[in-house]
Amino acid sequence: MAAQELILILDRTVTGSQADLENARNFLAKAAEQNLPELLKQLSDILNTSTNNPTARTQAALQLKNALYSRDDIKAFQDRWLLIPEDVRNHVKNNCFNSLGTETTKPSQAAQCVGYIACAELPRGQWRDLIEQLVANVTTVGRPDNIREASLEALGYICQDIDSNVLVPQSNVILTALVYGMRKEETNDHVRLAATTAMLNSLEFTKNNFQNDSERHYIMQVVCEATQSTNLKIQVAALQNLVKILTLYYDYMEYYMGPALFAITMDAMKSTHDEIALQGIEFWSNVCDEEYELQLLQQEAQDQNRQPERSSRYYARGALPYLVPVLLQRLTMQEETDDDDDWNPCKAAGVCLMLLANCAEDTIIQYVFPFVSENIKHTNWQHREAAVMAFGSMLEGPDVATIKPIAEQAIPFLLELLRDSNVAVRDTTAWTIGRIFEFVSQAVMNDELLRALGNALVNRLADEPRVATNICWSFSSLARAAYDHAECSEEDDTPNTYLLSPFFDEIVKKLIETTDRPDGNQSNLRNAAYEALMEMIRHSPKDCYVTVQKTTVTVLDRLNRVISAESHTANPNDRVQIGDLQSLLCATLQSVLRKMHPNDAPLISDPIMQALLQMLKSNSGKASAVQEDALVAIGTLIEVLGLHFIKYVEHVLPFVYEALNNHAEYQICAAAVGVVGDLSRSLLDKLAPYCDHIMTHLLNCLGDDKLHRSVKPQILSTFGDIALAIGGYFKKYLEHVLNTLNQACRAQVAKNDYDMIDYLNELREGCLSAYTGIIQGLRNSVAPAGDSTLALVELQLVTGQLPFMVQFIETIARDPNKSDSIIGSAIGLIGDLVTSYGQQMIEYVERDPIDKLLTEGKRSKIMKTKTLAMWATKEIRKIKNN
Amino acid sequence: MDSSTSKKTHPRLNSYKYHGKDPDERRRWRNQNTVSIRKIKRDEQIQAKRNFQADDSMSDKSEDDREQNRFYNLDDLVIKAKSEDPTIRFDAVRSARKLLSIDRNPPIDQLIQYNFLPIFVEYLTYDQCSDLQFEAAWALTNIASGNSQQTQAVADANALPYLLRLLHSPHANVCEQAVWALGNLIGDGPRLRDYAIELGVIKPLVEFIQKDIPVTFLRNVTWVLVNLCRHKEPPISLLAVGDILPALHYLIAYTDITILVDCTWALAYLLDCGNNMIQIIIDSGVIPHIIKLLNHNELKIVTAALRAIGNVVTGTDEQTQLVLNHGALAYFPKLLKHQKDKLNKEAVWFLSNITAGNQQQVQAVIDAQLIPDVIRHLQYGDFQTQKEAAWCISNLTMSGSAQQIEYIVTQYVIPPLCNLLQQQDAQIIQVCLDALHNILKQTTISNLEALTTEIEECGGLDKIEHLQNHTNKDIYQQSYEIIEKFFSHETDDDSISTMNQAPTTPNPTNEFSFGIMNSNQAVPDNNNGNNAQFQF
Repeated sequence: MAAQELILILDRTVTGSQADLENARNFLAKAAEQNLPELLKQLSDILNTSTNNPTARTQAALQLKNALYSRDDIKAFQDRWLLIPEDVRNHVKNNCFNSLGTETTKPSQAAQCVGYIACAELPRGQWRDLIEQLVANVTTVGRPDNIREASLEALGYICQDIDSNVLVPQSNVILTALVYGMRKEETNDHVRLAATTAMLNSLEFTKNNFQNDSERHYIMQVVCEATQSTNLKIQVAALQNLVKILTLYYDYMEYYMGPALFAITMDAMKSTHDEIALQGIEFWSNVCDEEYELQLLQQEAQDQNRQPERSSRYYARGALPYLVPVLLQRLTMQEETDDDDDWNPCKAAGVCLMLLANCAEDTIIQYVFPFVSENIKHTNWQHREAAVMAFGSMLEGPDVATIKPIAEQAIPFLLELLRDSNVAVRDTTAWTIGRIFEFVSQAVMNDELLRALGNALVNRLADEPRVATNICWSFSSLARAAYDHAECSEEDDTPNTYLLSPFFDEIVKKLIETTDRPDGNQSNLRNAAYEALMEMIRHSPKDCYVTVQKTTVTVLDRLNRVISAESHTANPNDRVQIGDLQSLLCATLQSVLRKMHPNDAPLISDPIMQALLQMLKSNSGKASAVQEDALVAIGTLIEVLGLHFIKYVEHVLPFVYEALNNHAEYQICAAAVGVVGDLSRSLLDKLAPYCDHIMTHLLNCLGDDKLHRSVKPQILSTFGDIALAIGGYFKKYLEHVLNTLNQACRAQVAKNDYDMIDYLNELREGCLSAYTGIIQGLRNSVAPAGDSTLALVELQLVTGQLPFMVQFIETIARDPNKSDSIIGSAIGLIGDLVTSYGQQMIEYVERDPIDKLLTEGKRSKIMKTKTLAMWATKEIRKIKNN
Repeated sequence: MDSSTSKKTHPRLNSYKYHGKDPDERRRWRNQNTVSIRKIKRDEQIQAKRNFQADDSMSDKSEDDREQNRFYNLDDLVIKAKSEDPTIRFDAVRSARKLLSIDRNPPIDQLIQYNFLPIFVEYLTYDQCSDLQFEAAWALTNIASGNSQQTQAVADANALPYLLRLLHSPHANVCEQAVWALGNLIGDGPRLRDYAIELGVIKPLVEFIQKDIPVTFLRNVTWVLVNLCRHKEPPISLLAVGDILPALHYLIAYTDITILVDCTWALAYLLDCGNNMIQIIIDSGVIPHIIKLLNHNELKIVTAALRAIGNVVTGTDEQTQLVLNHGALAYFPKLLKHQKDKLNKEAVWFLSNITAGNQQQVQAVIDAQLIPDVIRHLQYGDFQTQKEAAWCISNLTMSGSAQQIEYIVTQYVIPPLCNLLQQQDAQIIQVCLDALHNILKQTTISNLEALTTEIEECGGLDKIEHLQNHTNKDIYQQSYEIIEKFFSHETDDDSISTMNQAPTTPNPTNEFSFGIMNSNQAVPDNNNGNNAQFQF
């Protein structure tokens, strides 16, 4: 392949002709397949030949990049690169490095190539001199600015993408280059910007430098000076640095807050450039995040009677008198069409105000409330909207007792503003009313007010989608609040009635109408309306049951209509919409089913089952969320019907098996695993005839390394469900299952990977559930009349596993990362073992770790764990005393 | 390496209004919810198969009963308890302790008769056998939780110094058990309290508070502190209070309800021990913290805090003024409207001590808009509250200016005052008569006719006339005097004789009728001491 030909091909990729592009793509793919090293070598040659035309060079670098990196499979691409012979790699690396600063287009493609190669090689100890060479490029006097800029960019890419631990040993040299490029003496803005951007990426691994006072002072000085640059981009990048430094190194900020950071960020917040203002506000939002977190930690430490490791400096509270006026000012600078997904200073100010209220609690009120009173009736809509926004933002944080009278006072104004001539005002007002329901519901829990609010909200459901959406969410909050407020008799957790009962039917009716609005796609309205409907149903008292029944019929009816529409819809866009609708209807169906009286469920289960099976049928073999939703809905129906579900089991199982085999779409597989658990709980030993198949599928799932790991703990728990359901019938699976559990119990994970620690807890809890189900199932297996010895015989089948099980529990007991719920499960199993095996358990339970675990359980904050620990202790005492 | 992050995906946008509730997120939430519902169902099913008893104490009792039915031969047990064999003596001591842990009628006296006490006390010194120490301390705790004689028997066996020593044990359970036993002993009365103080109990207790001990243990320690402060005949020495106060000051910043309740009661008890004690506590700076607790949403805490500051205002005018200066009155609208009668009563009692103060203090009550509520209680409150309200008004008529008295008349105080004259209780009648008499005396000539008319019209005059036949000498004299001076038109206003003085001291019938706590507690057997559950 001649270089000239390649250049020609690359040139043609930008002609705009689809055919040329296709042609080039094919050519390159073929070349890569035939001889990748050679292709990369040539591409790098083209890049590094400054006499080539710029397009060809840029395209060559792009192709090179694509061969080095894929977002989807970073590691595979890196491995492939590393397999290329060293001489070729060195050739390519030299070419890329030497191209730095020679390109005429920006940003430098060579810098990106250097970055990607570095990410593959540095962690494996290769290309060791790269960093020093790049640093030399930046700091050597007399190097052309282009080279300095591109080298800084390369450093920035490396800092951004590489595991920060790799760079820690070189943080000093890297920082030297970055700080050098950022100094105010630097005359070239491009260089300074590249350095500032790279600095932003380096902050994570320069911890050691931040711990050193003089080094930190210098970094802070350079960053603060950069915020004063006249170049907008440098200013923004420097401010981004401050935002990130605040979060990473909060504890060191005291020295800089008063003399510098406060003034810099205040000025930024007031800037007429949105990008700058956003960073200023973000800085204070981060302060709030950090201090709120610290307040929680302090509280926790206080509860445990110890000193907190870190404490808040209360910058946010201290700055309230200065911050709040600026934020309020920003709130009035909104535009009517601000309801889209753009992020702007006005929205940022609203969010920052909410965070401040959380931090400052009661103190916020005195700073915000005067603004609200002054502006809520302002002639300018922007002021009215800002007033309502400010009011809504401060509702969460202050003590409810303090904010309640203020909320009460505001309601008449809000009712009026719900009919404001300006749509943005109505939008925010509806949102604010929802916030009152959510955080200060005590202010509205009386007949009269609820009637007024309910009427107003129902009426405004017909408003523009953005307003109606907010109203729907506020109904969701209202339903929860009213339900929590209702009184329940002691033996029943559903109240007989509540304050919404008189309006319940009307609200539900209007919400159902809203779900059908033709403009429901806008502003997420349809979703919000369905969600509100579900929350209303979920939180309905007994005297609203008729409406629940009616809603069931409506939902079923719609489901059938959608299913038939699905069969003759070809347009992919419409199909997506239909899928979303089916998902929502399934979810609504679940909410009504959970409320259904046990006698009513069998009356309507036939058509429901028909519809759900139809959904499964028409989506069979497709990667579709609909299958998952239908399976989840079936699970609820199984739960509600109990043994009555037996008549559908043969119809459902084929779909369950299909889903269990769908390891690629693991959520579908997981939904099917859930259904198996539901079947076990509802059908009990009637499930036994189907268990051969079910168990085969489940064991297959466990054996597949490709199946997403999150499904596996669920499968283990489901073994427990099945064992518990079918008792003695489980014997024939015992050997397989115990072997599998043996493996699962031995799993280990890295101690510093929080995701994996969570996963290990889940996996272990799955094992505990399985053992518990097996022991309980065998113990309670149906014995012929009067023969209790049979159960004991069955239990002997597991005796050989007892030492292992106890060892497993001890492993859990010693694990400092064990979750609260796993403590309960482990103790429960101890209790079950002791009650099942009696005396022979004494030697196992008298061990120190078990004793400690029980003590820990008895001290648990979770009532369930505590009770279990008391119970298990007592059971142990019984066998000891006998 | 996409350097520019898109504006649309700004993470904070999710916090703006309902932007975070996108369909995918909600769908995930719903499915997550299904998973947790399943977990709950699974747990319920597993739990159902366990031989669990809803009422835990039931199963415990049956076990205890079995234990008791096993019938211990105490002769045998006491010999075994003295055995040289560590296993035998430990088992015996534990069995004895178990006998003492039975819920109903534990055989405390029998064990005392069989001379177990010296054995238990001796074993407190066995530092090598912390389990034995623990069981012995537990047994002593339970004996000390009995009646006063039984408690005294533990003290007579010289247990106190040895229990005190155990506060330095390296074994947390032994420490905690010793604390518990000491609490029972100290709670018995001033004698054992002062003895324990003399032995130096306060220092180690206060040190526990500064250490990192579990909250359950801290509750026990606080409970001992409240027992130290509980008795006022005679009160704990001022010196000892000086040692306890910093601890109480520290504990009052806690959020744990049990600790707060005990700590506040401890202060309330101390504040009931005279003006010198009040001054010491004021000087410690803890009063503002107590006042803030009036706004706590836990009733038990509000009750204790109200009693505490109520005791402060029985002190000097300056001490009373300090409470007012810290804004205590601001909490009273809520307290006076509280649904619990007893809280209303205490609140009015508090105010009655303010209205017994100087005119500036009376004015503070008026300015806080509290008089209408007091009068409402005078009219509609339960009897105890009415009585306090009568004192409150009566005190006000004693110390208030003419103008202040005129104000309460405009708030319609006369009808309820007259109404109470028909009560059977001589004291309340007297208080109301005093009040009416003072009001009449302070009313200007121009208003006097309206006032007498009001008394007449609400039936007050009839009642006063009726009281002239009362068996109580003071009552019939005073009612006679009132009629003479204000309702018989021949008499001259100048001949008014000296009046009875309304008492300005707190009313003596005001007993601690709520917030009563047992000062003695047995340790039930189903708790292992580390995990103590107090039942107040």
